[in-house]
Amino acid sequence: MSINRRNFIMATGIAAAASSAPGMLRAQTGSARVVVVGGGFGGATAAKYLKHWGGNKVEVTLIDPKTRHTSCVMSNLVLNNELALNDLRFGYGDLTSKYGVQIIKDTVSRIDPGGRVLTLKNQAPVNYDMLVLAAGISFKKPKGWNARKNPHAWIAGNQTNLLKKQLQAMPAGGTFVMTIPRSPYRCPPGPYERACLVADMVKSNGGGRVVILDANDDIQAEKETFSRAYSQLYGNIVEYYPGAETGFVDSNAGVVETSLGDFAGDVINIIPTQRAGGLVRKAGLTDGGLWAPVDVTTYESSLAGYEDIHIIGDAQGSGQPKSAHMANAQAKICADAILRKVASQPTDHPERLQNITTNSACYSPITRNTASWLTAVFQYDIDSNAMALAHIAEAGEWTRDNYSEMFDWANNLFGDTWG
Amino acid sequence: MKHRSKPLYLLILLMLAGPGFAQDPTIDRMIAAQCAQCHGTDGHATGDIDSIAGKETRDLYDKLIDMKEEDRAEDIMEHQAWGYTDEQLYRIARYYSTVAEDGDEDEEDEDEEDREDEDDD
Repeated sequence: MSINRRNFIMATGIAAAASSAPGMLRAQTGSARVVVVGGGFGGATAAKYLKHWGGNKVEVTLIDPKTRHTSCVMSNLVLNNELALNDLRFGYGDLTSKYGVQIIKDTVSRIDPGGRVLTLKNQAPVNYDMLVLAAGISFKKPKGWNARKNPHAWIAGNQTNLLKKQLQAMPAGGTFVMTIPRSPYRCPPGPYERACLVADMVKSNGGGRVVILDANDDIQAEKETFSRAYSQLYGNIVEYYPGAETGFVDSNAGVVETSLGDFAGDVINIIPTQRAGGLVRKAGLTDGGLWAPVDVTTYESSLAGYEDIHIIGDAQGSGQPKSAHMANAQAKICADAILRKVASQPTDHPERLQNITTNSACYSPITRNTASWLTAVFQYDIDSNAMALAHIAEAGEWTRDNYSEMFDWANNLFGDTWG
Repeated sequence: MKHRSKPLYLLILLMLAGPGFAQDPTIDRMIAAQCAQCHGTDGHATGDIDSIAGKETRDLYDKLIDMKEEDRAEDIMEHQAWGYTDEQLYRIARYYSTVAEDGDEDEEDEDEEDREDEDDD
């Protein structure tokens, strides 16, 4: 069945009128209770903007098991010692003091979509009128893989420091092996950027090999930049193998079995296949798939039975790139939609639909003092009911100016999220 | 393909100002919030990125249109501008004109050591 523009608007308009936000009935005694799960780029931005824009109309609670989030953004610079992991940790203090977000430090173990209740690991259950899930990613682990021997370093934290230690201890002339999973995965340019920085380290440490085993058929982002960097800067170091599907990982022997043969390495970095965070999957929000289907005009789950549950960031499956910048972008569209629902206003009138945009912008270090960039703008397309790419561009070169701009970009992104 | 001149600005102004075209300022805000990832919340940027809070609508709009019309776009911001309609760029500029300019507030965060990380799954 295909629906055209006109009857799409009619259909959604009728649906919105008919449902008229059942969650709001219980909110009449006070402000609506919005609960955000996950304090990363998506979750923290959603919590902040709900209060920044909504004030007393919403009571916002952020639940996260940790007191601080460790940013994956810039974390490849921990590997070559340009940054410390502590530089990338962000607490939730400003969300509370500046915006009035309440914080619960706990793990959500269960979602009851009918009763609108979250069961927590340690504390009393939490009720919600509207729920935002920013659960990030989890891994499909390859057989034989031991992350304590072959770190992923794809969720920043101890894994990042472990990979850094292994790289520092790698002998001159040694081999670094990295596996890249099939798309979509978190941070499309990230693995290629990491390969550049490791190659840069290897180069100044007497040489060695950087072996990239990519399950995809080609470089997934900034192809021009990375292709040029691999040949011009790291021609005798980087070996790029497209179409290398990871099989068994022998973490004891230090060997990765792939569809192109076995590869041994002194340091092995397994970036596994990814899917939505466990909470989202276990709640049934991925419908048996890897990611949660959502309505991109609100980020509400598009599955029946999950009304007023929104999924933003890496865990949702709208096809937009899985990046921190994009999670922040989606959080704002979601916050706007929730505030309209709370005020019993429509979210699907033409003026709004025609102006739903998201964007991604990021910088990739190519050496220890140069960087490139990638940028993309998405616009909502009514006909396909999806976010469509409006424009994409990459720097195609690496400069010192970009390297310095990268820090300004990251600091502003961090500030817009947690500050 | 990228020919546009100032009269279009007037056309958009007329369109937006006309009685039949009352526009929702919270839609301006929603579009403009997409700039904040790089330009800071409500346009208050840190570092060498331009603060756009409190800029005159006309000045910011003209700048954005100039970026969008750059035939040999090289800059990251020129490519960003390219992704938006002229009306969206106008609404972004209109939103930032309503925000107070940068003040000189400075706040420090506490510096407590984080506990152990656990990987997801």
